[in-house]
Formats: sequence, structure tokens, C-alpha cells
Amino acid sequence: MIDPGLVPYRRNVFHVRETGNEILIISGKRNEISTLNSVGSFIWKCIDGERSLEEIYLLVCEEFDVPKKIACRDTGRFIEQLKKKSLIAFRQDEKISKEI
Amino acid sequence: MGNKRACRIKTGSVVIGLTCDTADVADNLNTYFGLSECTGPPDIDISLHVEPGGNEIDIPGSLFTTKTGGRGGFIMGGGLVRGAFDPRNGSGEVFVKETLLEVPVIKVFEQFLFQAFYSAGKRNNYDALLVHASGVIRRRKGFLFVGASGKGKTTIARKSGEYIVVNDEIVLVEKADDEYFLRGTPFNGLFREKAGGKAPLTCCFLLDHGKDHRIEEISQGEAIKTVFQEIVPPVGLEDRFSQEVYMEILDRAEDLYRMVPIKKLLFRPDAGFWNVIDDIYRQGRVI
Repeated sequence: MIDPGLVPYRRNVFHVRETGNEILIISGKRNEISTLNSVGSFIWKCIDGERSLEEIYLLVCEEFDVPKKIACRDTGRFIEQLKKKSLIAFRQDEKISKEI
Repeated sequence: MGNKRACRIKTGSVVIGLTCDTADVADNLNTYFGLSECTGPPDIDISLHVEPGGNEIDIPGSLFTTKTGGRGGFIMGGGLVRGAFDPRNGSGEVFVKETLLEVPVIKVFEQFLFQAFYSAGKRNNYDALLVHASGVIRRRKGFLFVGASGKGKTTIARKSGEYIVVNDEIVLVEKADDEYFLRGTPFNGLFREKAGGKAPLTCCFLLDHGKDHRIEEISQGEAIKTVFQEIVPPVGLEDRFSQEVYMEILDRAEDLYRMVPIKKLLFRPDAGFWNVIDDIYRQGRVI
């Protein structure tokens, strides 16, 4: 599991467009396009280079009224997918520890 | 043809003129594209020179992303194609390595012609896009079947023999009077019995294989994304290939979504998919 104290930031993104309640992201040298559904779009908007994963998990809990454990699990998986697609990275030296 | 070295490649409402070095080159291109005599001046005219060789160069998948140059001059595919085009007078000159004109590699050369089409279109303010898709006109309605290689575009064409198959590889989606139309192109897929035609674009289907024929609704994002991926970049010969092009493609995909129903079609390799298409019209799920 990813360290919840890490701060994710967006990278490698050329263009972001909201369409309906989804987000389309054009990224990378090959201009790949990714689609985020409504939940993914909310999480994406939370990634601002300032908030830690812990803070994002809390926001997801509040927005979708889900238990913290589920928010952490599902959001964490989504974050890993974004990382795998090189759409985000983590600020290693800005790890923030806060109590939930 | 009056000029035996001439090819006239009519795509939608524009004509690309190629003046070849020899009648043999022109004959080969006319045969490959199934070109018939086309009267009237072309919208752009390009002198085509064939150069020996090209085997030493790796054939790229794209002449768009391997395009360099500026000020009307271009090099594509690491030197397989080089030339210049002046959009002000619509004339140009291109040098092509002979290996690129051989079947099946000539399909890569078609990408040069896609760019030539867009150049010709710009000169005429012709609002049309080339799309990697199969197109069928059935009962005066145009149907677009979009999908990556292997998803069934040619199968759709082969199972639609009683209708007008305009193409199984590259079709034209033309916009006029705030309406989209499906048209054919001379570019070649595996289905060679393509026919000309034009019809209002009624529905766009995103293809995938299935155990049974089924039509599914898809999200706006997925619909736009899939169409985005199959639009041939609207880059003319005079244009550099830049990331901004992708924003234009996204705009066009969104516009198409706004105006034409886009659905997912899962199908088996038989003509029964037309029955499920008829069903959604009867059910009023497509206007």
C-alpha cells in the first residue's frame, strides 16, 4: 500500500477536458487519452500537489459517504493506476504526517 | 485520361492531383486505388517523383508522427517521403522511395495522401474528417463502425454485402449544414468491393467481439475517447504535426458525440447484428 503521507502531483499531462461528469486526459509523448469516471474525476481534482493521500482519502470518504477503509483501498488502487500511466508522481521530500 | 501520367484521387468533394514521372507509376496508383477518370482540375496538384531504394529505411507505422520540416517543406518516415507544398497555390512536389509504393507497404504511403486530402480540404473550406472505420449505407442511412485493427471492421463490411459498403478502413465524415454525412474514400482496406455513396450519418458503433449480438450504451467519455483515437489527424502537407492537433481532434470527437448517437456494438461474425440495430430503432433508442 502506498504511504498515505505522500503528496501526489500531476505530471505528463497535455490537456484535461471535462465532459459530462467525466474527465478526459491527453498525456504523454504519444498523446494517449484516458477517461476518468465521476469518482475518478473527483479524485483527480483533489490531486493538487499540496494534499497528501491521507487528506484525499478523507475527502473521498466525505464526498461519497463511504467508510475510511473502503475509501483508502479503492482510492489507493486508483492512485496506483494513475501512477502506472505516468499521470502522477509523488513528492518524496514533502511527506506529510498527520493524524486522521 | 488525357494525361497518362496523371492520377486524380477524388475524396469526398475534393480532388488530389498527382502527376507522376511515368505512365506506369500512374497506372499502378490508378489500379491500386480503383480510380476512374475524373474530369476537371484538381484542388491541389503534386508532382510525384519515385526514387530508387528505401529498403534501408525502417518503414514506420506513421508518416504523421515521423514528420519533420517547416515552411512548406517536409520529410516523413525518415526520408521515405520528402517534398514541399505551397498552400497558396495548391501545388507541390514530392519524392517517394519506390519501396513505399509497393503493396502492402503502400498503405503507409496512403498517410501522405491523407495529409494531401486535408491540404485540399483547407483550400476549399471543406469540413470533413478521415476516420479509421468501416462505413455502410443501408436504407439511405449511414452507419459508422469504429474500432482498432482486429475489432471487426472488415467483417462488418463482408456481412453487409446487400447494402452499400463505402469502405472498411478509412471513411469520410463530412459536416455540412450542421449535419454529419458518411462518405466513402478510395483508400484501401481488405474489403475491395467498396462503393461510392453519401448518406446522413445516423449512428456510430464502437465495435467489439461478443458471443451474441448486443448493443450497449456507453459513457460520454468512453464514446469521445474511442472516436478520438480513430480520427486521422487533420494535418495538411503544409502543417507541422504538433500536440495542438490533438485538441482539435478532441473538439471534433465531442462535436460528433453531440450530434450523432454513439453506442457499443458487440457482435458475432454474422449479419445478425443488423437485426439488433433495427431493434434499437424500433425501440426508439436511436432517433
